[in-house]
Amino acid sequence: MPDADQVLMRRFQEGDESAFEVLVHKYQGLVLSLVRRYLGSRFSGVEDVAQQVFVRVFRSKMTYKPKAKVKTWLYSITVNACLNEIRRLRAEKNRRVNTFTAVFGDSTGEEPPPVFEDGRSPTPSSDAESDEVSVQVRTAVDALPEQQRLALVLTRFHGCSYEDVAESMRTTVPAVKSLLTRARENLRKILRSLVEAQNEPSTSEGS
Amino acid sequence: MNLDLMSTEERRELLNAYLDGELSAEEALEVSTWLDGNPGALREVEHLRHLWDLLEHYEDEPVSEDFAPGVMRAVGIERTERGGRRVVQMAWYRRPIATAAAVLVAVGATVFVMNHQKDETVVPTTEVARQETDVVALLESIPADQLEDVLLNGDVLLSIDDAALDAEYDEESVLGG
Repeated sequence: MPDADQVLMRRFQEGDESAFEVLVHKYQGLVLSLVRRYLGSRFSGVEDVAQQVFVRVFRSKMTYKPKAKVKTWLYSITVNACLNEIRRLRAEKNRRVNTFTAVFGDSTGEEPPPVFEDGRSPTPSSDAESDEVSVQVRTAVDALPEQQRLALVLTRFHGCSYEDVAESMRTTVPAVKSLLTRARENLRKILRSLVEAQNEPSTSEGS
Repeated sequence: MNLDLMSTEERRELLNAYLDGELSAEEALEVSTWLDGNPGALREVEHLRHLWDLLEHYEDEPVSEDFAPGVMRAVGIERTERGGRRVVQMAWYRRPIATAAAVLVAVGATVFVMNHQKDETVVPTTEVARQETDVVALLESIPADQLEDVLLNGDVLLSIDDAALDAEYDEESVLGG
């Protein structure tokens, strides 16, 4: 028995564009949120990427198979669009670095992005934020390696099951488990002081 | 499932799955029982739970009212562009037909031109045409290094019967007039 989204998709596949509009209204928040959190809160082209996602949905409506969840299918298109954007940004950055290096030499080139597996702190956000915790959390999530961040965002903010995350990321459930474990470890390192502050009351109560 | 026999990595993954509600009721109960006997691990799980709760502070932004209309406009443009590309695609499908039509036209034109040329060669079935053909054959048979001498001496031209030529041209001009 198809669910409401699958019925909408079928109508859309049969040429009813009002069904597509309903899908856009229904999922725009989720797509925008995933793009924003996956590409990082400082990324300025969130709406452009999210728009590309829906244009791709429109373009490839016939590739949707009714056995898949519409939401998961949409997530996988969003993930692809984000990956393309990441590749584009990397290529652009490499071009800039290469030009810079060609002109000024290697010694003054940009530092590589920070890696948090070794426990280094993230670069503090330059945004003027009133909520310090919010800034720290956002910066910490932004600082996670891409795949870990994506797995975390889909699980934590989109309520996806491991299976749905695996399908959206075109990977396996064990790979998702591993990504999430590492994501939590890295987050804990980055947010150590915050977590300890949060834990203090419960720890003192317990002892 | 024996948590004590698991590697640290396996146990961490299992505890994360426990926190994420990914375990069956039976597995969750087993983990919960194990945690009761392992205060260190229980603290670790509580730590992770707080960490997860902290992520609530990562607030999302509201969706702009212009977003959905923007998508529909972009889709409209996409539809127009795809319409254009479909024409190109149809042109690809029609290509064999177009090619066949072009070949037919080319063959027709060739046949027409050949017939026209044939008519021109057929008309003078007279002595003049025969002699012109003979002259061409004769010129072709002369070695290249001797051709200039032969032409200068006028041997070839003299072989044409001027009288017959004149008579034929007179007849044509009479018919034409």
